[in-house]
Amino acid sequence: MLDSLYIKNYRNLQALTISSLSRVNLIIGKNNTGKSTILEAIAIYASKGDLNLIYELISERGENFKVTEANKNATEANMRTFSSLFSNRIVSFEHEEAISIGNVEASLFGLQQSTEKLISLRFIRYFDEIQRDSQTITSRKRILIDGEELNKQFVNFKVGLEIRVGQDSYLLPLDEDRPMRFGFKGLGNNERVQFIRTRNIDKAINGKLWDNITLTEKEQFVIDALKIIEPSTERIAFIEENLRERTSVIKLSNSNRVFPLRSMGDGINRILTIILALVNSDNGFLLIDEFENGLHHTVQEQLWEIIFQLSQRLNVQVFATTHSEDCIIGFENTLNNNSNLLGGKLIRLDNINGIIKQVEFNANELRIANDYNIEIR
Amino acid sequence: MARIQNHPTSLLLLEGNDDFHVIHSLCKQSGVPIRNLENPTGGNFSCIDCKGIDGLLEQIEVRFKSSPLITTIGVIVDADINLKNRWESLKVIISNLAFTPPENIPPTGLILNHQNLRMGVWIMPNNNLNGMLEDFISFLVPKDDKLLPIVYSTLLNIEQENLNKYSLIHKAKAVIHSWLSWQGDPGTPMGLAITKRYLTTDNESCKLLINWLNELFNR
Repeated sequence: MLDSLYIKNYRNLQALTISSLSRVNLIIGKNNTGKSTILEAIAIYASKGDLNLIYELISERGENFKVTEANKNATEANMRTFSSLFSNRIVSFEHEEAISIGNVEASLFGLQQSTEKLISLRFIRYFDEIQRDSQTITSRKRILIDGEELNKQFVNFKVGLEIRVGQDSYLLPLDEDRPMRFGFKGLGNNERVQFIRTRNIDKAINGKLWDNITLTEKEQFVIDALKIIEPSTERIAFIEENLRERTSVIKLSNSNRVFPLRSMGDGINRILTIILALVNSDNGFLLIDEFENGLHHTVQEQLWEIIFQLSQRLNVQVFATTHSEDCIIGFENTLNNNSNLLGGKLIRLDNINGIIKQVEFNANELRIANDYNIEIR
Repeated sequence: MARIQNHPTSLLLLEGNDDFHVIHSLCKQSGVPIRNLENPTGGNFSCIDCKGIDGLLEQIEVRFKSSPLITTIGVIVDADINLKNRWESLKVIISNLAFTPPENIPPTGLILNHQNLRMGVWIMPNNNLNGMLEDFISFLVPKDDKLLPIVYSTLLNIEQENLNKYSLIHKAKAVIHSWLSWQGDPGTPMGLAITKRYLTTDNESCKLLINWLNELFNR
């Protein structure tokens, strides 16, 4: 679990410090304040720099530039692609301009970035030196241009993307066209993370997530959640629609037939997606972009209750974003009405002249805002 | 119901409805621009009735956080029976907000700046005495008034015969409301008594309060 969060130079988050986090964290703010960007940063952090995830995040925003007929320079295309992760799309080899994501720790000098679990991304220049040890054996030694040499001029250097987690690092050479899948899947043991994007109800993923929990107590958690919308839900299953796709079906207690879940509207499908992701993130992170999607306001509060309970039980840290007042009210009510459910926090992002700043509200402050009718959105 | 337009950048937190009306009348009388239903887009600050001292103290921090547009918050509270205690509890809140409060509250009212934020404190009646809003109002009774001494002696008589139903802590309320009941329009509330000029605004404490409001909110 992240107890705090520090994000530097990642997209529009040039330097964001959230001094404390809770088990369930709701992020609000106007458009373009970086709500989804925080979720992305946490995903990168949790995956320990998994390049496939990073490339997916880049591609979703259409920033994946490829080598073209006109420009066959792979390094240029790759630098342009990865620069979209950096604030102001800066390409720099300086340590100062690196992306870093991690938690903060209190020190003599106030809150400081913790270095232990910090993940950082940086462009780096290097040479490949071929060493001939004998007639037949050659070895390649990678020499990084770093430290005092950063300011010197070099020719014929190569450019790579360095991913660093604590003391470990990995260098992705940028002079090659991108492979279909990256072999590099993060440094060290990545934590479980499920990221529910604005519009993905991915049947293939849901089927796989369901398989992971079949015949465990988690099956019942999913059924209970679906009952928020359809109280007579008895069982669900994923059946093969064709060779490549499986679809979810639902059995209701008052009928002998099974129905395709997608015939029952967006809401129940959204809940299925969220709960399947949640029960598959034990000891890790659940990230939900635009929580309210497809959900009527009356069910949002009930869904929050389930999320608060299950996240505690399964040790999942939840981050969600929302634009919806109903979603925030549901969140506040759940927090205020269940004194046994501790651990909720609201974070508002404000764009103040291009700088993104955070304002944090703990459970007590949310209660005060609610009691005195103080508008905090 | 009409709504106050635009998000105000400055708020004045008050303990109750009486304070709310007194401040509105004082500002109207003295030309301090205030945002209210009559002036929904202008004015330098809006008043909020926090319905009690506990609620007021509790919501100061959340009010500051409620919007990045909020830059100034003033509070007017009663000293009640112990000015020093009231000030000490405010000092804790002020310090938690990263302002640096002085040892004692200045008699002119407190104004503190921290980065782009500003905070003001006025403790009724005059940052110097124990008491409450009603003590402050009693300062506004014209100097040559003939009724006020009679109010005091009457109340003293009642008290000596143990006929008073008010507790002595609330004597200031008994004084000012007795006095108001003997004016041209008996039962005029305190705020309206300022507008009707039963009460004056040229008293020294009143001038200090007006100055404090102007300095705090005009920037």
